[in-house]
Amino acid sequence: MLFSSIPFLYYFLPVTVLLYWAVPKRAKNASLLLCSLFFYGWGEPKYLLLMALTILWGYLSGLLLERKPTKWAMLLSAAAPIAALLYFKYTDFFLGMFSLPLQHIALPIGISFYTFQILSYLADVYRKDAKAQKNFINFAAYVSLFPQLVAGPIVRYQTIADELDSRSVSQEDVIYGIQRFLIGLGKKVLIANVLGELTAAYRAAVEPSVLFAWLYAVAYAMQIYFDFSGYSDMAIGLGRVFGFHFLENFNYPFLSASATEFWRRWHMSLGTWFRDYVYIPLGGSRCSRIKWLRNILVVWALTGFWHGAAWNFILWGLLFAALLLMEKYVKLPKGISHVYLLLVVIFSFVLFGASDLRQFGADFAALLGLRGLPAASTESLYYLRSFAVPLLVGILGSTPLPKQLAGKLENKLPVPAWNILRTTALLILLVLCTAYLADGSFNPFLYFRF
Amino acid sequence: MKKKFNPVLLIAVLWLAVSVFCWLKPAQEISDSERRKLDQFPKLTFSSAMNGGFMEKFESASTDQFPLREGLRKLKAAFSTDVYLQLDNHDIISYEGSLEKLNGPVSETSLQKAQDKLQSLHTKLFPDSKVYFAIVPEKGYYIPESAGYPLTDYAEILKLELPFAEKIDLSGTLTLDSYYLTDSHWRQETITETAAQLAAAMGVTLSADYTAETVKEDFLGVYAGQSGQPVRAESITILRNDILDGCTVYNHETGRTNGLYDLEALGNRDPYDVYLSGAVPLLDIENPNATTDKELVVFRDSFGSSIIPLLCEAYRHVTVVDIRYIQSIALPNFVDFHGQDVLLLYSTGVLNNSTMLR
Repeated sequence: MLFSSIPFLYYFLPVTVLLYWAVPKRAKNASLLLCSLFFYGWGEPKYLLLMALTILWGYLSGLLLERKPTKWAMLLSAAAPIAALLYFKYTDFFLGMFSLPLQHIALPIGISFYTFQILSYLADVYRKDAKAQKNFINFAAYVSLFPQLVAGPIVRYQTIADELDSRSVSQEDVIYGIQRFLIGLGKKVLIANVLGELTAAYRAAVEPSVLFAWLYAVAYAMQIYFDFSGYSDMAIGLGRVFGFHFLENFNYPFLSASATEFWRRWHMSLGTWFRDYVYIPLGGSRCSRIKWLRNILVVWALTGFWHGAAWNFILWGLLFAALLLMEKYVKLPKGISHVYLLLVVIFSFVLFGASDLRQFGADFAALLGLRGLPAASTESLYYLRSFAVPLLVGILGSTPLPKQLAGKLENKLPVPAWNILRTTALLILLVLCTAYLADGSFNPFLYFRF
Repeated sequence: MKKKFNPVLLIAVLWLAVSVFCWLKPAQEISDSERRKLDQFPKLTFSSAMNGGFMEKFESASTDQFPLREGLRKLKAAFSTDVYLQLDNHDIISYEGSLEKLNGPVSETSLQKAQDKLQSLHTKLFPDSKVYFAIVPEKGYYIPESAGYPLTDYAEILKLELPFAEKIDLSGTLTLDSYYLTDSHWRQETITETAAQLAAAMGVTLSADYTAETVKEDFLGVYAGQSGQPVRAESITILRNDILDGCTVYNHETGRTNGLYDLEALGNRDPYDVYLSGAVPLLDIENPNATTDKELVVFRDSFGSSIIPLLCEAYRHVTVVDIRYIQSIALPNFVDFHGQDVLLLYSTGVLNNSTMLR
């Protein structure tokens, strides 16, 4: 079930919220668990058992690691969820490498996210950074929590450990949650999905051209950003409605002036996960130069591989490794560095979005004008005119300008006026998003490979 | 101190109210504007829940059955064209007030299949007939390239030839004004010259003496509903004269006999059905007052519905076949091919999607 869908917005969510508010405090996690399992089962009924077994394994392993925090116990505990992830996500990739017949195993949605959450929990208990969760319902609710189950952010156990045991929801939490959710929904439905139509049009182009390739590249980078950050906003907003405070996942990544900074602002929950559970345990930067180089390459290859079982994702990760290493030695002037970062990110998402390396080669050659394509075509000029405003909205929306403008209005206006203005704007957002969804407009799900 | 109520919470109340409305609202059968059946909520069974079929159908039904969906579709269309300044909504563009669909590229495979299909009809059904072939250009053909729309290359489709048939070029007799603003079809009152040209090429003459009668004032064509954009309603006009009024049309599907114009069909989802009752596999038209003794078989699509009545004037008997709705292999059971003239009349759209020809 997509957050940006009529069944979620008008059937599942209201019932879930009402149920959550209706049950007594001690049953709130159980109600969340029940609803989360229903949410997951809606899309993947056959994989509910897999998730249940993974949860049970994580729960028992946590208790074991608290009693016997040995390296072997940690490795054994982590082995099962990693094995499940490897089997479901990467079997065909490895079989393909050796030209063996593929198994065409369906990927359980969200497996990368909930596996990483369990691994972080186990590592934290092993390192005594967190206490093992004794209450099975609480642990199961943490792993399966529907707001962040299918598209993140990766919520680490420590972040919400206290709130799992006891939390309260204030009026401010609900208001913030509604606002944040609707902003995320707007990002997804009104920007990402609309730009998705442009990227789909490029793939079906009759008259490819250099202009169309650039339109695609810019639109795809925007689509990914607004889709992903929109989902994170919705998750953070939903979490708040249920009393959880999830950490931020995006911080205006396109403002960055280097790839290093970009990854501090982009999918931060994944970046910090790899830093804390892979990079630092491998030795981080406090080791020999060769080992440090190895650590960087391992972390970024894994980061790419996490996004999808294909070579273009691995290369995408390694591209950032190369850029990060280069940036240790080469410092660009301020103005140029921003242009460099934007170009790098746009090119990198062309690699990310390609179905395979051959398609990436064709896209990349088109961008550089190496395919003998015309500079522009009737088709590309049409799409430029037709998507100019959504692209502009995307570009402005990826900067802090809207937030700053809202902040200024909030400061200038009397509180009642600001509240009415804010309510009106959010209501318009909800109605518009509903209109797009009820119309059956383009609404892709980008996380099927995660 | 008691906290003040924040109006943002009203959104939650409204949200909940719409949700209750969703649960309680009776399901609708049909979307009139989109001219399609709406998806219905599925029955829950163990197997449909386990294989995901229930969820898939529920998702499409809940979208189709959403309260006030018609208004929301219009709002979406208005936002997309007036705020986002997008040039199409659901691939429908508006050029000088005329709606047209972006139909995608020319399919060489489809053109080849159409050619093969029509060739096989000729070989199997009417090898001894004089055969004529005319292609109806869709209105996108008359939208100038300078308007900048990525329209289908209709000129490419119009080049299609059939070696066994005499080709009649209709493109010079039509303009953009020959078509409804909100529909894909041509207007009968604007195609008398086209009909006359077809007739002349087939060796007959039409009187060109008609009385125009407007039978519907509030016609909204197929593109109006699909685009969701606010458009003005149009009129449907039929052309009559004594000869045409004397014709009888036998519908093999319903077993009913009617006139050339089915006025009851004006109440259908597609009022264009007024012409020869719309999408019908097989019709036999008798004209006791025909100006010749000739007979004609027309293989046609929906564009034929409004032009065939005009051609009837010159033929004693006209058989109208739509092989989108009847297998051509079954035709000998219903049609006696005995050397009548044959007209193959297809629009560029059907030739470019010829898998629908059975």
